[in-house]
Amino acid sequence: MAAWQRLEVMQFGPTGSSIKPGGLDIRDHVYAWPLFSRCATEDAMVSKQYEGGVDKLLVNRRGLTALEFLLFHPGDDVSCSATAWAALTPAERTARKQAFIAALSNDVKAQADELFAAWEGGFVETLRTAGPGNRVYMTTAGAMNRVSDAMFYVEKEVKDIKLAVPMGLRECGAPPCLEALESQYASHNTANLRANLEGFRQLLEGCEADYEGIGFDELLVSANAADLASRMKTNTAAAQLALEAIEESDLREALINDPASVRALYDAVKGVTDLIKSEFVTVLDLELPMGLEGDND
Amino acid sequence: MTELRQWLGAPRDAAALAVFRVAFGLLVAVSALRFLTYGWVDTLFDTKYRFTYWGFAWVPSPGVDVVRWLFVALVILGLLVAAGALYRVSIALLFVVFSWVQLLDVSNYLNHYYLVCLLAALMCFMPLHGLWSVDAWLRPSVRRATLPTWCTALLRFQVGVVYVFAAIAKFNSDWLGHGAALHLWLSARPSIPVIGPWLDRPEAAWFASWAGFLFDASAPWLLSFKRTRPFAYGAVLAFHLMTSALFPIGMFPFIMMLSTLVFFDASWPRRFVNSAAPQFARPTELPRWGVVVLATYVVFQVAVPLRTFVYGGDVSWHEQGMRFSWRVMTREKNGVVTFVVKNQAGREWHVSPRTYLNGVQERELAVQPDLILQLARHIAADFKARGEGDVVVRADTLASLNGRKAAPLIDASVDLSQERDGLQAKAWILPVPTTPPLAPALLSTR
Repeated sequence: MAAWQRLEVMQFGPTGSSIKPGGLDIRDHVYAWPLFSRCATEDAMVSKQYEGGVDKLLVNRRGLTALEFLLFHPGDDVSCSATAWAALTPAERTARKQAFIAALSNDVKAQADELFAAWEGGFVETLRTAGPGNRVYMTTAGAMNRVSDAMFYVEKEVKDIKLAVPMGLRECGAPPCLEALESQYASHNTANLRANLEGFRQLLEGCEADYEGIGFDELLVSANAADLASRMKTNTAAAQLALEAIEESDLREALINDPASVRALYDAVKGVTDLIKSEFVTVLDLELPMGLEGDND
Repeated sequence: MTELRQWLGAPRDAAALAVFRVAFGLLVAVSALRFLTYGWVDTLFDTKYRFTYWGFAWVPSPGVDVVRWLFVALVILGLLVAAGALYRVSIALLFVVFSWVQLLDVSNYLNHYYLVCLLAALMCFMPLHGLWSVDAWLRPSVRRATLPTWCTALLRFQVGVVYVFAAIAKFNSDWLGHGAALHLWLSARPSIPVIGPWLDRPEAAWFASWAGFLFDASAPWLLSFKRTRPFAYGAVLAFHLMTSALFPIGMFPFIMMLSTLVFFDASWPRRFVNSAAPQFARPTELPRWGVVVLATYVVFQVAVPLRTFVYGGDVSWHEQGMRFSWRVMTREKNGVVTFVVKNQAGREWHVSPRTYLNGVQERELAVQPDLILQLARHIAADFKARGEGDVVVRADTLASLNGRKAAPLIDASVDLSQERDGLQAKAWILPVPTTPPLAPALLSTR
């Protein structure tokens, strides 16, 4: 899961949406969170829909989210299709669950292989040669924009969904809204956040060990914005430190026992995302994601 | 005074303005067609919330389905105006419909749409259908070979105002001293054929900044004299074609390239149709009331852009007096806003503008204080309607102007739900950072 959570911040090219240049929707096939339906997943298991091919299932009942539920949900109960489930023998239930898990695992593996093949089979070159003549990215700015769009995952998903909603800062009736936490069954939420921040830092600084290598920081320095590069790195490291400062491994417990530590993490992540949305996009003349096409003057 | 009235009333060949009418109508039609074909009607007008212009909150929003039909109507009206068919009605309707659409949401404001509104308004009072039109073909009574000089003069004034105030807007250290905005824009365009590799040079931004300023400052004057006009118009074509190639500014370059044709000799189109200039009718004086109306319009059009200087400070930062002032592409600015809402019980929410806005609206909101105020007040009303009672709404903001280090735009201690919009200066807008914009020194190596 940690490996995939790092890629969550890199949803461009084959990983990303198929309505974007070069996109193959692989992300949603592997991990569509927060799209997940326990009921639909159970229904797919009970009625053996997986036998028709997992790739034919909707994204809210396949991938790592469905696997997490099947592997980590304790007990043998189902919330939907209860009558049909109850009619099965324990051995048959176990067999169907194992078969569904195996099918889902194979599908995730196939998606990962497809992603790897897409990158090695041409996307790396596509990205590298962005510009006139490139069918996917006709300008270097366009390619860079797709990569920077992916970085906004830290704002939209990490800050606003994974943290703000459970904390009760948005879309929550009575805080904390623990049911909005990611990784409801495996309680892998802080590890996921750690991987998200690592993935972001790899884009910002570089993908090699200790974040060495080429990243947006080099671009910022070449754009005369070394100070911004430095502040972004400092703020990202601060967000990572704030995450490590949370003593509980499960945000559920942290939100109950030490909500201030989660708030500190939220504020630290906001320190990163505020810089992205203001200075970063200005200095590199990037378009904000979801910016709609239109005229300008 | 009498001489002025005689000059304004003196007849001139109607040919140039007939061509202007055709071009204007076609541009409006093409512009509306682009909205329909690119799906912009849905993306820009199918919104959960709309920002209203101060004093125009009463303008009704007909819903996206009706707006789509309004754009269809604009295509038809544009073609009717171009053809000079039912001109009086079609130009008046075009003005009303185009203005209505523009007034629906402030976040869609563009200077060239405002210019189209003004030109359409002026054309309502000009009999531009007297020549080369369906109306003139069908109804001999509307035929006319000449138009009074005030028609050309007023259109020239209107187009000239755009350039002059666009130059004034560039007369600042960010633009002329640092080439800041153009450096940010040009350095991000290395893929442009031929010149791309040089666009990140500071000299390129500095040269382009000065060229843009000098062009804007001189274009209307050089277009006004016969000797310099051909060269000036060549510069107009080169400048606007270049900006069209470099930046996503849609119809603006084409509107300006065609609008500046009003500076040419009134008979210029006849050279292309092998038609003789008309015998001028007996000169008539423009009535006194006509002079008063024209003078009022001129004063208004000069005063409105100048209002920004009453506010002081940097208009690119505080945005007071930014609209209707021909500040065309003068700054690069991005920001972020989080609304911090607290109810009486002390519960706090962080409201993302995304909750209410689409991408365009969110981008515009983040750098325009009056829009931040509007949404803050809407959020307060929304929370009240949801049973949270009276809430305090503060704005946690950061904005970066021309690459400066991001700084708070709004005083985060102010409860915006208690503030009112208006013409008075907004004390809750924080001053622009004193740091210089992001721009490399001239002749530096990169």
